[in-house]
Amino acid sequence: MIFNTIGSILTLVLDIILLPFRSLPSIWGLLFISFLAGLGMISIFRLTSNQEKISRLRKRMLGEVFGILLHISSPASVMRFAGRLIWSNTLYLLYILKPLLFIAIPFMLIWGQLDARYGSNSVDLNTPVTVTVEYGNSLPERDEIDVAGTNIEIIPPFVMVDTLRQLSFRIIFEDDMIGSLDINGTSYSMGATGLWNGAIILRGFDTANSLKCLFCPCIDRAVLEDDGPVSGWYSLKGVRYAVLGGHWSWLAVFLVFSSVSAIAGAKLFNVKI
Amino acid sequence: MKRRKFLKLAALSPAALLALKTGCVRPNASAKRVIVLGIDGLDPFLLRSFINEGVMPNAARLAGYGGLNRLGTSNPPQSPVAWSNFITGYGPDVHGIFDFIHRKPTTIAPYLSTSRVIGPGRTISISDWRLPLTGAKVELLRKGEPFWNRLTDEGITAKLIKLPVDFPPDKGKATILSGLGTPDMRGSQGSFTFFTDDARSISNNTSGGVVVAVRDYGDNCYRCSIKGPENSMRAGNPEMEIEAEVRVDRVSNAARIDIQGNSCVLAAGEWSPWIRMRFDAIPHISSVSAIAKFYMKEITPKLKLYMSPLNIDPLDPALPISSPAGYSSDLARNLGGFYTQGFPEDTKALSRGILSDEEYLQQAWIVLKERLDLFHHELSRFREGLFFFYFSSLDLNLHMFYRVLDPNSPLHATTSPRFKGAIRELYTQIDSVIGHALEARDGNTEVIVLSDHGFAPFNRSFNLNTWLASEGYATINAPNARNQDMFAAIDWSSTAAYGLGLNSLFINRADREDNGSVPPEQVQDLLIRLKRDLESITDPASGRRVIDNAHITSEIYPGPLPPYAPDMIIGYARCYRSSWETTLGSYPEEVITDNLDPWSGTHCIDPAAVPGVLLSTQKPGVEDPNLMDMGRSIAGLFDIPVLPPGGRDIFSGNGS
Repeated sequence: MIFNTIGSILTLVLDIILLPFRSLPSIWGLLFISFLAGLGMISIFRLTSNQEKISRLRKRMLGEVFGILLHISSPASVMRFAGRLIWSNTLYLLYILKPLLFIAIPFMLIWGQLDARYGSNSVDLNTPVTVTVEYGNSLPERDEIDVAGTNIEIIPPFVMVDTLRQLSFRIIFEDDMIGSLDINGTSYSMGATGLWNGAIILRGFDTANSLKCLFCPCIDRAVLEDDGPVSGWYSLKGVRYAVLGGHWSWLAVFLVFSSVSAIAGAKLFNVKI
Repeated sequence: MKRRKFLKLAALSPAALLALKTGCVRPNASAKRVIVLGIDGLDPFLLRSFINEGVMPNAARLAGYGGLNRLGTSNPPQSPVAWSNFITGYGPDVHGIFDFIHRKPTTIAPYLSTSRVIGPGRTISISDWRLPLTGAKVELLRKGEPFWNRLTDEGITAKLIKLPVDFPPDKGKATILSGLGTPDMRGSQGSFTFFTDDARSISNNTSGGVVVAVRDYGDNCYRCSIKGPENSMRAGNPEMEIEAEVRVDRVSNAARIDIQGNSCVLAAGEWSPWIRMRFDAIPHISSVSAIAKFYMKEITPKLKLYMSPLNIDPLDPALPISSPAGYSSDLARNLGGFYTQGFPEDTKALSRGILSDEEYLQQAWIVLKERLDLFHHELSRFREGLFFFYFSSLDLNLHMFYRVLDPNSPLHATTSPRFKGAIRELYTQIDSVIGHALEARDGNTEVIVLSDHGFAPFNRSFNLNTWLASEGYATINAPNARNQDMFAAIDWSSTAAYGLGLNSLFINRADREDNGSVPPEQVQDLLIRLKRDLESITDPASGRRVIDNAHITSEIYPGPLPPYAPDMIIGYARCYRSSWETTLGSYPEEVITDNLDPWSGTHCIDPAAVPGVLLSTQKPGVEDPNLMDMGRSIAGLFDIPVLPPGGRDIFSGNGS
């Protein structure tokens, strides 16, 4: 329950941040979030790291590099400075471990959100998508399965895989990319959660509450009624963004532009990294 | 202030980056535009007949501008040769393509004439791994300069979609997507896989594809091994493999195909969308992507699952299929997957009975629909310069369904009459393409429709090698091996001539072939005797001549010829063609037999019998336009100082 609530709050926060970008191409929202995340990460780094220690260590490391260069003709001195440099590097890694751990949590949370929003194309209208649902105990009898769709056309046949307790069939979204499946009384949301760019695009559903609620907002949380399936999924095409003559995945866009933003922020706010 | 400036810059920089990428292109109202539709196999006689029937109004409209002209084809009139003539403006003596198949002169080993793969030069061996130090590459064997180079050198844009005999594509300034000649992922011209547990369908025949036996061990699941390309990073180049699980539901007569985490539900009688799969050369480090379509022919009582040849994935091509390299990916992103192999229609699957006539036609319509989507997409983006688009559908489908048009075909009576409309429907579709090209026309736009050759029935198969043996030009010393490929039956020391490929005849020269027997000074006399004998052959069943012209190659192409060039090009008479057995060097018992293969139409005969078509908004200024003239003529429609050297400019008035 707690994970559900945190997940919902996070989704709401991202929805609000992305509000101005709803009618723009998705890349704009992604770029904005990337820049914001870069600045956020560098701010967390500044707050959670010992800037004085890092600064001192960097100066020492620089001195050790110069030491190697100045005593290049003396192997013993070079070895001594190199040993010190390795030790300094180890210390540096220890110093940045804490801030990196602090950064990791929001990074993982935002990862799931961005993957759900920018990772895949929405379902193409009039293109069949294969849906597979999985039952908890055993597959119901064929004539007991009742599948209906709202804004979704169900395309028979139904393929029952007894050994895996799975049922597969195809669907087509009719008017827009928002719809729901009703399987034996349980309703499962399908497709996009909104008609704006940057809305979460669902890729499946799950009736269990777990940490997945936090990290995988593309999985809809359904409440199981009667004997419906406990989980389900369908695959969507990944999306690529045209940037600088290339076709970038959302992750590449995010990593590059958040890094650029973080480095620029570090320069601007004099953060020692 | 400094921070504000930073934030402003941070907000503006992505905008600038995007703007760089997505600069808007507006059509240039005064720019010259030429639309060329290359319709493989568009036959002037069938075209006239359909125009007269009123089913091709747009072709009739275009013929109203420049007439319906017969276009001289290549000799031999095979598509790779003909399109090379078109591209370079010269014949095979210059571009070097004489047949679909060439052979190594010394060993007689056959190879595809249009391209070859050259493996990595140096490798490091670690256990059974082979790590290449230099990359493998694919080489285009067609020589000569493409005519559009003169346009692009002058800054005129050229876009050529599904261009034949251009794999890998020229790395010039033109935008090119390779067509005819593009192999599948296994390096063949198209090799299907048929998974079945029906013992009657299982055979060792590997012509055009393989039948793979699969079993259901009681869990309603068939585990199907999909063999991909050879892995050059392993010793012995084993084929890469992935597994597909086909879970059948016999009650609903449907199945789910699971491949690498993707699922696809198919009922019996349905075609799948394109399914993408990756083959690992080195797991997690190096892999290649391929796409395939499945057809669920039958589930109950036996599984019969057809998988198309593994096509090069246009989204992530393992081999170069477009220039610039990212062009095919752009198309795939906009349109989804599409057939990239040069021969998309699976004619071999039909010939071998894997697909029925109806199933083959379903696949042919899928191919045509994809091609039409591609055409409309690219035509809508065409702003200026040259736009060439190639359609293969007429050619391959006329090959397979000429039997419905020709009452003399041995298969005419056994072919369902409901397929009679298929050819008409194909011509109608091509007419709608012509219509769209005409609609896109403005005051600065010319439209040209041309074909590489026409069509003729293929009712009787001529076993050239058997005839050579029966006339004493070859000696069979292993009669039991007559039906084996690659001349297993003959004694080379007493063999003077042999046939290989569709129209090619070679003298077994002592100074060229490893086991040659004919001294060079006797070659010319032998050719003259062969020509006389070949041109006098008559079919005992009808008394008709089998060969119209046996062309001595050095007489029709007097320039220096490459050693792989045939010594004679056989121009068969209408209704006749070399047998499939002859093309690969076997010696069946009969010299002439009925052709009982659904491949019932041909153009690999005498070029005079199968001219192509030329329709254009400009009237040709010559009586005998030829494919070799077209590059220069198209370039002549633009205002450029130097025209391509080959051929004549037929639109200039005097054919200069």
